[in-house]
Amino acid sequence: MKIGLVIIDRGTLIDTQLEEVAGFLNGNRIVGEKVLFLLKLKGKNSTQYLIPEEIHEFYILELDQITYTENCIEALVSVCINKPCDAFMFCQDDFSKELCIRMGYRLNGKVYIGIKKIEYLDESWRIHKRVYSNNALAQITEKSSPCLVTMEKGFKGKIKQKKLMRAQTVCIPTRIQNWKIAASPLIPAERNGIDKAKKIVVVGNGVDKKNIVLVEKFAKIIGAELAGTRAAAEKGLIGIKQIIGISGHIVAPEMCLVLGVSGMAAFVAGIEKSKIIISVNTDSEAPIFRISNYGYVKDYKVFIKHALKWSDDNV
Amino acid sequence: MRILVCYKNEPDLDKIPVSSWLTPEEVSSMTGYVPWQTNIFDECSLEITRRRLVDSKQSILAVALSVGNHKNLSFSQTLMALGYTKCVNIMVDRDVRFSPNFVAYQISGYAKQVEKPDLIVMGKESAEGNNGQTGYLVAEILGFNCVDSVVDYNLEEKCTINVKVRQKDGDAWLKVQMPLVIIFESVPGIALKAPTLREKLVYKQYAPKSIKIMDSRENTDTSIKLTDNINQRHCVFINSLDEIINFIIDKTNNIGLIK
Repeated sequence: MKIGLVIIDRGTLIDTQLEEVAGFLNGNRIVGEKVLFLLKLKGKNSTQYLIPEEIHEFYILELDQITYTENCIEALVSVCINKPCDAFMFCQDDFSKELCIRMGYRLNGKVYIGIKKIEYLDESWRIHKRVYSNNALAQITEKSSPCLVTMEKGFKGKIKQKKLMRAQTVCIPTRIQNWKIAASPLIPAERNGIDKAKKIVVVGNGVDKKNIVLVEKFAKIIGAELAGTRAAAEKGLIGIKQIIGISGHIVAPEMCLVLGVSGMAAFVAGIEKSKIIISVNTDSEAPIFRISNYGYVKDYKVFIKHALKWSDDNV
Repeated sequence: MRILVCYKNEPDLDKIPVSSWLTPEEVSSMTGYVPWQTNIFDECSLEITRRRLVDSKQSILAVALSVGNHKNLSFSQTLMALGYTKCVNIMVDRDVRFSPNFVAYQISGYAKQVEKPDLIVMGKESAEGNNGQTGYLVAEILGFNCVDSVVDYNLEEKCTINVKVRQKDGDAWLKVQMPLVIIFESVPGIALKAPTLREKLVYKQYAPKSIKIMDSRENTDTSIKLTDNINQRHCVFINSLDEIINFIIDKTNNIGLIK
């Protein structure tokens, strides 16, 4: 069994990608010979790297141009014809994702993006991947080879045991691509406070329009941004730019206070990276409590009125 | 210029709890009775294209294409009312949720055999399979250039367009050559315009063109089981109001309190 691990010297630091690879290998314990492929621009001289100890072979593929995936695919495919692998693993960034998918097509392999876990059992690959906007887990049994996967976000492990290894360098002549004619300077993204907020108060369908002012007031007192579900936006409680969930912002605040939200799939995907989730809902069986650290089973009005009274007394 | 915009209608997962639709240990999920919505990435791409149809001085033929969508009659009428030239539905008789290769072959087959577009506009991924592959595969099959993480675009000259691409620290405009596949991100604040009743009434008899594409290459050595992705945080229920208020303040270390 040979497993190819692909990293690219482009955008994300090599060390960061190696840590991702290490985290993925630590979490998966895949048996087999691991081959590391590093794609880099010709002329960058370093050929020695500190890499995870599990790596058996290490190749550097030197290219004249690394901006286009096309060049990287051609380089990888040309090398892999001589050194075939049963599986290829890529990091989670978009460039790696495109490389993985297009390479999979050319090698007639099967591709899975953003996987949580992979193992080889009974002569087939067992892949675990989140589907339905992270609400279901698919266990895929794949008999075809090669199997090409990209890791899901969040695999970052310290390389526990590393070794200094010199790579075998392969120079790949590349066809110069020029279909990207020009690029503007980077325009800082127009992000509103919700993306960066450390505290967010989220309102859902259970909140009434006449009480949104109270919620807003409390959010202001605790220095939190106000956001809501799509249903809350449809009800006119918040603006369209304040929607959290698959169709809006994906946030990761220190604290997320969720009021009157039942916790449907598409919304949950937007807040699940929060450090602490506190939910207030009248239904103790509401799905929101499954992803909450702390819950209060009562009407949000009781909570918000008491909270405002508390702040009047203490602030 | 010919633009092909691919979209998908899918179950609105906001409307039902997971336990109501997921059938454990099987690939089936009972989402048939749930209201449907347009995929959010596709909604952005449809709206931005609609805006470009209004802005552009060029003559543009814009086709809205979906694969295996039987619930899109009213939506097709909406798209026609918004200025799309035609709507096409590729009929399939199989589950396509976890088959990005199959879907990509259907789309590229249509593009190659019928429409021959200069630009194909697609969303990033569906909310069901979360495969995230179709756009790249279409580009690969057709030999088109491909740009992902797109949040906006402008039609320029005959063979080039400007695409706004979302990167880690901001956005950048790229001038790129066609033929091209662009893959849309979600753009907060962008939603498909609702046509007026008068605009929609013009197309009340309109039905999308249904076709079958025979071009396919699919490896079927795959089996899939679905299970609930229990993301338990072991919720601790707090019974006293004072306790939960104090808890919120404690947990946030009192930061942000306006004195």
